[in-house]
Amino acid sequence: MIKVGIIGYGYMGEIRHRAAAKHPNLSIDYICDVGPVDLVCPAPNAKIVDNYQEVIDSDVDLVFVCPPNNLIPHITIECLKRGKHVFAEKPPGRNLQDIVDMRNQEELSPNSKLMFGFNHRYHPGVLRALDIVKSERYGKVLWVRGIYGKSGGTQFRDSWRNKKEISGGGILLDQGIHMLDLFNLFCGDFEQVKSFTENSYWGFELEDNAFVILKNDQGQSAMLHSSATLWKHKFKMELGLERGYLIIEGLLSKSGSYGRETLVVGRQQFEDEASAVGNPSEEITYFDKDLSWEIEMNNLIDCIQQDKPVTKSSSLDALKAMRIVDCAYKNSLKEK
Amino acid sequence: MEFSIVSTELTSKEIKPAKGLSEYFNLIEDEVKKCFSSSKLMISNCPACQSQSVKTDFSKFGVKYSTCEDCLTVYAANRIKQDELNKFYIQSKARKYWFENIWKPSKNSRIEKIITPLNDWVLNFLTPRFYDQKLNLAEYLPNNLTFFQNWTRDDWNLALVEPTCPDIASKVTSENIITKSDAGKFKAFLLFDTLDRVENPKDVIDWIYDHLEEDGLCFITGVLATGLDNLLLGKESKTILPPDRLNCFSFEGIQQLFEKFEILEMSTPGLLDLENIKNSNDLEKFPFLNYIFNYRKDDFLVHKFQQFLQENRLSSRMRIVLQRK
Repeated sequence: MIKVGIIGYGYMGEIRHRAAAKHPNLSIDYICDVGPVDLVCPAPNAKIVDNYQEVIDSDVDLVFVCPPNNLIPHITIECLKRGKHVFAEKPPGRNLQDIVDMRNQEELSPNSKLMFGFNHRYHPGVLRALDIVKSERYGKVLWVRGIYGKSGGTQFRDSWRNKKEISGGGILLDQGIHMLDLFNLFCGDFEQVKSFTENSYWGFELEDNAFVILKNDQGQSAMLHSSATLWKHKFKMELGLERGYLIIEGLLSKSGSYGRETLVVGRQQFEDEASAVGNPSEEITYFDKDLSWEIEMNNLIDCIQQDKPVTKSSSLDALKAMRIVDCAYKNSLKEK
Repeated sequence: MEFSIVSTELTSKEIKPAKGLSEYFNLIEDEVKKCFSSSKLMISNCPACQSQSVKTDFSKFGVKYSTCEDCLTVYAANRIKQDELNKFYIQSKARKYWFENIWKPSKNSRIEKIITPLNDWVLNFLTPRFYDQKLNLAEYLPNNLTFFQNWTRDDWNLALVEPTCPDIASKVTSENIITKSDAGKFKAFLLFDTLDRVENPKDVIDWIYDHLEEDGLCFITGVLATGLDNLLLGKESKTILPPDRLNCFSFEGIQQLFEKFEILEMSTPGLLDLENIKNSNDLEKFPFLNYIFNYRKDDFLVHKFQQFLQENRLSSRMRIVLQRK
């Protein structure tokens, strides 16, 4: 049985608790939060504490690190030092140096597994699209385009996410990083980054809109609009392939606010085909089951139990995503 | 279970050119009457849910169709044994006429709009799951070779289990043709409109289960009695015809055949429900639809309505993917 501690019992801590509770090989031994803990599902063996050091010093094997961004690096590093496995939420800290520091400790802790919460990789639309891309049935990826945004969030004005010393960045770091990770997943690394970030509406010290354009050495380009002023929540990722296209839209989520998750698969139309060119046949699949949290959990536990290297949502994936964010912020400052 | 909708532009004329259709119907009616009139096999249980609560609805070409009161599956009560059905398909002059006068003139449209999407559908499920493996697949009881001849994965072996296509030996090498008794296990079975025309669908599904490898998939297409056009048109539906539709399952009924499977997808991506109703002689019985076709005359509205049927699985064309548990 793998003993588990959860540090930070907010939105993500609760989700990790639910997913861990479903896994037969996990025992929730510690739950930590500075505020009152209202358990979302039973944890009969769990000790509830308000000081994360207690979890770090305990004998748990695996820690889910779900506090605000500023605490993620320190807690992760301390857990790794003590030989614990760590699953840390994204973003991986507040800045590029944070993820570099965590990776340095990971290298010094070869018996520990470190994984980051890039959960969108495991959504059904993304998994299906990835399979189609890998099979090359519609050819190689030419470009990717993403829109990911929300209208803010619950009690957004008072959220720690809008305080630079805690979060490190605005909407691009908080949410857009998911899309950047997906861009990397589908296309590989992006070397060139151009961006504009704006503080358009909310009036915080951090950006509420970011427009990022990327290009890699394979000639693939990507474009992202990350926003905290999308009054209708939106997740949309489009991939242009040599002989077709894919559109992932909507996300099966707790709130359902991003709409039903769908995948559109369209084939390039040819002049000799009967249908009008420019209006190809499409197939739209509607997904009704989100197993992403369970798949993510199973991947992690599999790595721990089989002593396999973490290859998905790894610290390297986190580093690549953070590099883009870092470049985007620097590039945007230069433009100003 | 997930479901899909499709936005292909398709009309009946593209796949069933009007010229030749009425002659085909005359020929098939003659043959069915001759073949089924002597049939001693009468079933009273619904082939989907096995209920005996039925009402006899209508006759077509001498075949009595009943509707199950519990699940609304429509099925032929008098039927012939499976090997007689197989012989029927191989020897049928009406089928030969269909091939020459309906299929051949519409071949390109059929390949573009029916066969290629079928091929994509199968591959979109198989490729992610079994990408690096060498797979054996089989079409079960196919009565035409279009899919087989346009199958795009040369490295995956596609066999035909007891095909009922005429002149098969001249078109397919013998190593691709197998009998049920010789069949081993396969990673996937393809049943394209097959369950609709077999004597005993449950037997077929049980056989498929026994011959599927672990985690193997089964792809099924067919026609639903609970699709808009079939429900409204009933006996006037040109789709519910023997022997191709001895079993016209309901959306709820067919699921009862699949207890040993997990249903991965169940979609009704049909494109022709509204057109079938519009082209029937009964349009005036449905004032609402009559209004849409003859007064509104809005193609976009019709397109969105058909999309609504797909999104809510109310179209009569169905496709299902099963995974062996």
